[in-house]
Amino acid sequence: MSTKRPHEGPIPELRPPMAGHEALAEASRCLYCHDAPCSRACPSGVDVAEFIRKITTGNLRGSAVRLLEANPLAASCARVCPTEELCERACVLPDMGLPHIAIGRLQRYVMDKAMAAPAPPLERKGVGRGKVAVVGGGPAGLSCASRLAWYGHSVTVFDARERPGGLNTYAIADHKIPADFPPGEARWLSRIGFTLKQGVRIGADLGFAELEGAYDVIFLGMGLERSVRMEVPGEDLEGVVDALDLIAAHRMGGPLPVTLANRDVLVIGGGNTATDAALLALEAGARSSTIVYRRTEAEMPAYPAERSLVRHRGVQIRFLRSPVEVVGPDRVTGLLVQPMRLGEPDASGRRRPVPLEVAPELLPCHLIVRAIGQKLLEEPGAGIAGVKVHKGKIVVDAATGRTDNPRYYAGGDCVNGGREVVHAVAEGKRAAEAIHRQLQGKEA
Amino acid sequence: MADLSVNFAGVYSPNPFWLASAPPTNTGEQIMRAFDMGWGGAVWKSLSDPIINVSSRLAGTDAGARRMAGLSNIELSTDRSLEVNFKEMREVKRRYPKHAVIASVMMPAERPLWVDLVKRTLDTGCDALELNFGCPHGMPERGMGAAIGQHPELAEQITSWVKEVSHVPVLVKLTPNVTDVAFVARAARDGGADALVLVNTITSIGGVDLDTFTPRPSVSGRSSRSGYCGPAIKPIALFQVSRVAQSGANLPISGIGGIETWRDAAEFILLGSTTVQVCTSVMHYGYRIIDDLCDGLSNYLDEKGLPNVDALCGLALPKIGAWEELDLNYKVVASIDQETCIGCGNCYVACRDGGHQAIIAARHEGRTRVEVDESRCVGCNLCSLICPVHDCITMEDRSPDLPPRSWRDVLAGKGKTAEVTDGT
Repeated sequence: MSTKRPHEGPIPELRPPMAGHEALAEASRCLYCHDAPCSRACPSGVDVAEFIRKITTGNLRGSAVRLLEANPLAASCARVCPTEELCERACVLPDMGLPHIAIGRLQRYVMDKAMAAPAPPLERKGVGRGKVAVVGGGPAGLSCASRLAWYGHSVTVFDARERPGGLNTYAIADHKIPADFPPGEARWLSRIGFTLKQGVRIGADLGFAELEGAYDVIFLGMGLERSVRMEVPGEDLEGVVDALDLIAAHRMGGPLPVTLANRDVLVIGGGNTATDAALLALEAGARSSTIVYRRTEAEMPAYPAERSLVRHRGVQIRFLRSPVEVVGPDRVTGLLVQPMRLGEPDASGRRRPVPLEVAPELLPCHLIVRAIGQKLLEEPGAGIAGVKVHKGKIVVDAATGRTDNPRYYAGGDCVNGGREVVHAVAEGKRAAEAIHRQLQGKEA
Repeated sequence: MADLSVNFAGVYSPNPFWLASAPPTNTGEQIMRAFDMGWGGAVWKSLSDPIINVSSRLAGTDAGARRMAGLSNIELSTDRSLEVNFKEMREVKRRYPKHAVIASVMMPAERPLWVDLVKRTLDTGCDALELNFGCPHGMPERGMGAAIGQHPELAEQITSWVKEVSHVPVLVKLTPNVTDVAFVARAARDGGADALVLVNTITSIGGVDLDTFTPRPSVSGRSSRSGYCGPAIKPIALFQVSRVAQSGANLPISGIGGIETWRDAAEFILLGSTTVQVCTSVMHYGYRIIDDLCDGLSNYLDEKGLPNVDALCGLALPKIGAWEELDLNYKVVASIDQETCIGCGNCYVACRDGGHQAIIAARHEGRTRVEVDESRCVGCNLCSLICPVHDCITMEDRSPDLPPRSWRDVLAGKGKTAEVTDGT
């Protein structure tokens, strides 16, 4: 089996930078809508129309402040946020036959300028006296920490990995955000006034009891570190790897856990991690890279832009195929997949795949990459009174992000089960607001 | 196809588009190139004596991403010696006998100076003289330009000096920097002017550099009042042209002020101009705009069934009158086409904060839906002016069934006016 690769070489940046004249021209197209639908579409509540207007007046500092107030991770969100599905989709210009405003690129323009300064342009907003520990230095944790530090509280972020940034650092493809960008952004944000502690895994290196002894409030933002297994026979054979491990190794510039050169690679899953892994396989020299997905393109969680990108780069996609057995004997030689059809919609609203009454089909391959979802590494609630986990998610109050234990808040993927970076940011901010109120002695 | 040629106070021109006296008419080489591209005439960059100028002369006013919607300048007359200008002018006229070559002249208010310059200029064979009574910067301080154009007696006096020695038509270029341009227009007529040209630039400060606190354009850290032109001044120029056309001066008019397209030109002609002069847009886009100026105006005349430019001249003038003659019984209200509305809500905000709170906005199926409360709408037009969608908001006639009634009628106790709603 050989794969045609129509487009080789590095994948161009998803949202390249804009020159000043480009940003001014684009920002000037914005209609500055009343009750702007783009703002309403932003999970983190960015006042899109206003930050764009400030570009047109040359008030770039004010523009960056507006962005950071709503979304401390505005710089990485400018790059990784599916703006085409959120704010840009809501833009009214297409209704009059014009292209939508390039909101993501304008946001990048503003944040690139802001990040040329050593620290964020946020003046301390309060004189908070609380001490807060943030578990996890990903988008949710950094969002929470930035906001609390802005309010003047003493905040320490504990992160298990070598570099901060969470999945922005370890789990996203290079064309969306370069690997060194999220750690740089985290350090930049820390200059609002919080401490980053890398390489500390809470629960192992440091216990929750010790945190409780030293901090008033603990925010849990540890994300979902463990890959979901296919739960099929042969899954533990040599040659089955997790997409997250593959991408993380690539992002750190280290050796990949498996050799991809000249291999036929199957990537199992239909999300953006699957598309990232499939592209990475090709980039690493795989002979072929094929996504195997149990539903059809219409149900794929990967964004349309990502789907067209993988096709453009020569990734093949096999729809309506569900893994049933990894074939050995000693190491992977193929994957048996069950042809499926679509049945009735399931709880997610997507049509459920139902096996066709035909024999499984063998897809020969050398490597199988799992990209069918992530879950909590372990249940952090174990041993903490009031921190409940339901169906793999930490349970919190929807308005505040508070667990049933008033000293514990949570947000991000570990609460929502894995959504966009911008949702994690919004949940970190939500918790920070409630923590601030609580620390000021006001009821959350 | 309509005939674009005009006879302007005895000066023939193949079309009504002239280059105004400015950098586009600095040299004979430029003007010949412009004629080759289709310009009908050129008013030579002002001749004066002595020849002085500064470096750093222009400042632009942008409108969003649109560069140079307005232009401020502190350039004076020609940078080159009079002899060189005369030689080139003679050459141009010899090679382009059918194009209009007009010499702009400017001197302090002393008879011998004017007579001498005019005589030397006429030697070139130019078709007409344009007396620059309008330059608002640099020259007035030395008794020239607008210093003359702001004093009707002086304008009349100098015009008559020139007329005494000129065998070609004398055009007087007026400054808009006066309370009422009609006084100077009539004075120029009394001095014997054959035609009037307006407007010259409007006194301005071209902006201020926010880092150095220096107004623009900066000449070694200082600036001076400048003359403002370009698309931004068009409405001011249109008024001034119409004012002169209705002033009783009864002379042909060459209109100037922010003309960029054939549409702009048509408006000036409708308000009484026979020729129009263009500067800023040529400085912005080059002589090549003449193609669409001629083409567009010709198509427009054809579309209107008019045989030539004269037939268009002044058609809008009878529709300008005093405010007290306007019909108080006329009533329009805004109407929003829900089919083409994109829900930007700009009309709502504009009417709420800058109008009469007559537009209602509500979220409807995830979009902003706007509706007009006709009982509150005074028919100001604001919403229709800012709506980004062409023809989405129109003004609909809701006049009561009453004969027209003006404020003059009201004062005279005549007629009947519909009851005014207070919008509550």
